[in-house]
Amino acid sequence: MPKTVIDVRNLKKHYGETKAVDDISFQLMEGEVLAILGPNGAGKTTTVEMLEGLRKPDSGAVEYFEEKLPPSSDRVKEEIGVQLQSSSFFEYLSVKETLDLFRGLYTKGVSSDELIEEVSLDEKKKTYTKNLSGGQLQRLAVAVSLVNDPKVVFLDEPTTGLDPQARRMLWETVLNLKKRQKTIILTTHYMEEAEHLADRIIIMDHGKIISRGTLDELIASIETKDIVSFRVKGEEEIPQEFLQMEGLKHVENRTYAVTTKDVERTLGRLFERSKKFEILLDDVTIRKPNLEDVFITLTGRKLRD
Amino acid sequence: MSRMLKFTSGLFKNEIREFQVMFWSFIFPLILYFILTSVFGGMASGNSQGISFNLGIVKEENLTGFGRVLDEVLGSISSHGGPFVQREYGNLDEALEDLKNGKQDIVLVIPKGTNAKMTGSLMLQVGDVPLRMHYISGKESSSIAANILGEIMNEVNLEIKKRQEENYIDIASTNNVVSAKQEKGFDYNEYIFPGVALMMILSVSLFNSPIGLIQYRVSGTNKKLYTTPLKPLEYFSAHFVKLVFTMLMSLVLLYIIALTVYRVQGTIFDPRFILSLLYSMLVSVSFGLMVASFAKKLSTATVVGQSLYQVMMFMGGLYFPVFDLPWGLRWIVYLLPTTYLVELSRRFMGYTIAPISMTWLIVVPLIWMIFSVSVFALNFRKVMGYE
Amino acid sequence: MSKSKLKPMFIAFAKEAFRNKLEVFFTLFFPMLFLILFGFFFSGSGGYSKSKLGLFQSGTMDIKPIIEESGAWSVTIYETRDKLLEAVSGGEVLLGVTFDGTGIEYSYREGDLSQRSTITMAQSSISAAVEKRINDAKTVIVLEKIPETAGRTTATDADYTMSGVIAISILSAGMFSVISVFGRYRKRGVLKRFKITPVKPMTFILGSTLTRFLVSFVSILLIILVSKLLFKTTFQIDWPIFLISVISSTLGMMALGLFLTLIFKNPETADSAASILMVIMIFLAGIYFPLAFLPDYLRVVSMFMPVKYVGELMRHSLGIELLPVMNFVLINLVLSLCGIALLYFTGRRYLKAS
Repeated sequence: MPKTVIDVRNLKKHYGETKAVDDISFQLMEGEVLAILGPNGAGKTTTVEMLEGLRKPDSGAVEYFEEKLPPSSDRVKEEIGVQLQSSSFFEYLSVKETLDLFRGLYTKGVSSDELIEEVSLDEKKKTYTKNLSGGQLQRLAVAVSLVNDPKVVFLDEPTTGLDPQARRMLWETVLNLKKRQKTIILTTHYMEEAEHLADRIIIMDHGKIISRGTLDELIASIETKDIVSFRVKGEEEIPQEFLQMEGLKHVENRTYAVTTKDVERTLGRLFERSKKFEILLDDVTIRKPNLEDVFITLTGRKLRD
Repeated sequence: MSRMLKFTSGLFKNEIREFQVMFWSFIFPLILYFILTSVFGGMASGNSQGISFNLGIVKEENLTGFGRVLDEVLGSISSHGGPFVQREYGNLDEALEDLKNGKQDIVLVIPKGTNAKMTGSLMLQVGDVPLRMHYISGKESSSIAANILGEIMNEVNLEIKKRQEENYIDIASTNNVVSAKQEKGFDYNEYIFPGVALMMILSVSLFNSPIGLIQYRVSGTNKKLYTTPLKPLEYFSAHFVKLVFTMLMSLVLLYIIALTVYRVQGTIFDPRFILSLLYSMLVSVSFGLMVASFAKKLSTATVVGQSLYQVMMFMGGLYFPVFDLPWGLRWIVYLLPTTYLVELSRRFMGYTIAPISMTWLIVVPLIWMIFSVSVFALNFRKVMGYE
Repeated sequence: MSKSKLKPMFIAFAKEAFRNKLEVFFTLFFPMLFLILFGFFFSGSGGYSKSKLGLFQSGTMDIKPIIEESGAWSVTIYETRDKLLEAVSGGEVLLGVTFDGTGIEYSYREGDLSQRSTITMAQSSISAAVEKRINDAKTVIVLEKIPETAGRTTATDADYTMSGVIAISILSAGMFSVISVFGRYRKRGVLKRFKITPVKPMTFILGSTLTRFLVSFVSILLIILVSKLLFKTTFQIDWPIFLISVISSTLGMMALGLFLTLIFKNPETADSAASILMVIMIFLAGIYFPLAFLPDYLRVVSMFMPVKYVGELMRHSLGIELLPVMNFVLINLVLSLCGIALLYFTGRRYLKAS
């Protein structure tokens, strides 16, 4: 039976009138990767910073392990590793020196050489951090978060700004950590990242948790088996009557999607209507729903809006 | 403890590798030391070697007979070691043009009839010998040259009288320097040493310290550190130790340069003098922390730091005594901690420049230190970026 | 050159310059700080009041009138020698004179370099005057001092000092501003961004440097205003000449800054080098005190300080010390050409596709 590593209850954080985190509760179980997914400004980073002890909640509780320790306790600090959203280190220390410095702040940990190899920064070992590229800095940040061999790892938007290859490399690192039974909280606004890495996903918007569960559970929750998407050809105005089709949602420009439990019937109806209104369709595709669809269904907006 | 030491080591390495830190803490003060001693060293010791003004001479008649006395005088003041470099002009207009365009500092005109008048005055003690001296009003070099020539002519007059008068009374004059021990001569290189030392201390405490604290806060480095077991007190202690170490390094370098290049005396090894420098370090660091408390942004810290640095340097008596300034500015002098700190160090070298008692030299900086530390303590969380 | 592109460029740079706290501070207020500090240090307290001298005399002869005759001193009598020495130590008086009828003791505080020459002169002049009176020495050589004016106005100490402050202000504005444009902007990638637009290098240069001229002018006008108020300067400004001098001087100082950016790729290093140069020039360019006081080898160095010539241009245009026409033209030409040439060269180097 997996143990509860972090218990979050009724967490709130306001900044003036703005409710950055509005009464959220969840638990992080040992060994799992929990992704907190949401658009920019959803409250993900604020939530995670309260768990890390960087911000004080206005109300609510954050408790670690069975001992129910607060984030500020020494034991918690020894057991967590944090990769912050924006990585900033001492400019004139090299990669190795930075890792050695942070390693020196903990009572236990792993050697910097091991970590350098793990994040593939061997060639940059002696390079000052100010001379690292964005991707290299992110990898260093992840390495620094692992320097104390933590039980819980916080990764705050670890792949933002990285190219696809660098992103894949980081995903590999996270999956390796998972294999080593690390408990990971990952915040992201990339749906693919959450889908690829997470055991469980929490979706946040405007400071609230709007949905949670495994990927399958979340997709099942919107009661959609398939999604038929298509594009309307030409430049002419699309008749309103055509758009009054059940389950039809506008995606962007002249692209639309219909969520359906019966794809054959939906396709038939779609072609019938297009023939009736003399509309030419293009790029008709059928796909399974994803997290983006879950988000759109819940909020009416895209994840990236 | 080991955590704090490891962090201190990392902080120090990071700091010392930055060129700007090296420049402002080490290089710039030494360059200024060199410039000040080169420029003012000669002036301050009263050494007139090397000082020379340009004297243009217009002779409306050739000097003969007793007139040659003037030639001798002019020759002696223009020879090696004399304060003038002279050039003769054929006419006054040319000389005055050169006076106005800066080629000459003063123009001396020896009018027609000087020979006769010199004879009358020296032989018969009848009449006087008028000479004309043109100078540029307001221009310091010209005014000073004019004054010097005027004084020389006064001396010549006295010398003439001395030779004519058997019972001439000489007035002896002695100097009594009240700001130094009697047996001690004034050595500018030594005098300026505490000023340069304090400048090195200030550059670390007013620049490196607040800028470093704010930089780490706004860049997010502090945030990362707060997720580790490093305690706020450990962080701050490491910062303090790093500052002290940087200052000590710069002072050691200054000592080496002062002893080897400028041959400064052993007073700088007086334990009280060294203690005064340590006291200055404590006061300056606390002052810098207060600056960090008030500055939210890096640009503000830079502006405030630079302003305070310049004001403290010049008005704090580091390089020039400042107690003759008009009261509109003098109150600032009495307000600044550097005024007291540099004077305290100089007292232990044997100089008394400032009209301030020893008690106040210690108490006023102490008040500043307590005040600054209190302000910083109250703003600690804000400065360090704790929520 | 497209005027339509120049205008938005100029406005953008002007806004940037005036919104940049650091730049505003260093180009406008920093010179003001120097003005006030150096003005009081090097031109005395505006030259209004006489220096204070304390006198204790125990002989029969009263030398107070003799000292006062020179017009340079305000004399206070002290009852005892101790009280006099206390006054000297306390800074109440600059010089203490003790006269017992046969000798004079001069008491003073060491280290005050700005007053050193005053004290030295006083010692010889007082001794000479007293000796002359005692011996009833007749003045043989009478030296008539005829003040001349080198300019359009009879200048004061303050005029000379303030013209030096203006020269330093131009140096600061010109030199540091181009380090900002071609150093910092280059490092941050701003120049690269402009490179891919249709803007010609010359348009960019003009747009960015016109702002600096504007800032320079504002700074100088402020200095002139404050110096008139605080130090009662008597400038008689020939505005067309002044304008030409400021433009060419700013160009010349820009050339210096550009030279540093070409040598030092890192703008922070160029800044540091500029700071050293500025300190050297403040002390060695004959701006604040006569070159005559410098040792020979340093006097030679000062001939190579561009700001020395900027100082001459300023004194000329403020009516303090006129330059021969040839000199004026030559200095302006050299400064302008150096500035334009380096601006052009640097602009092409950093703004044209390589």
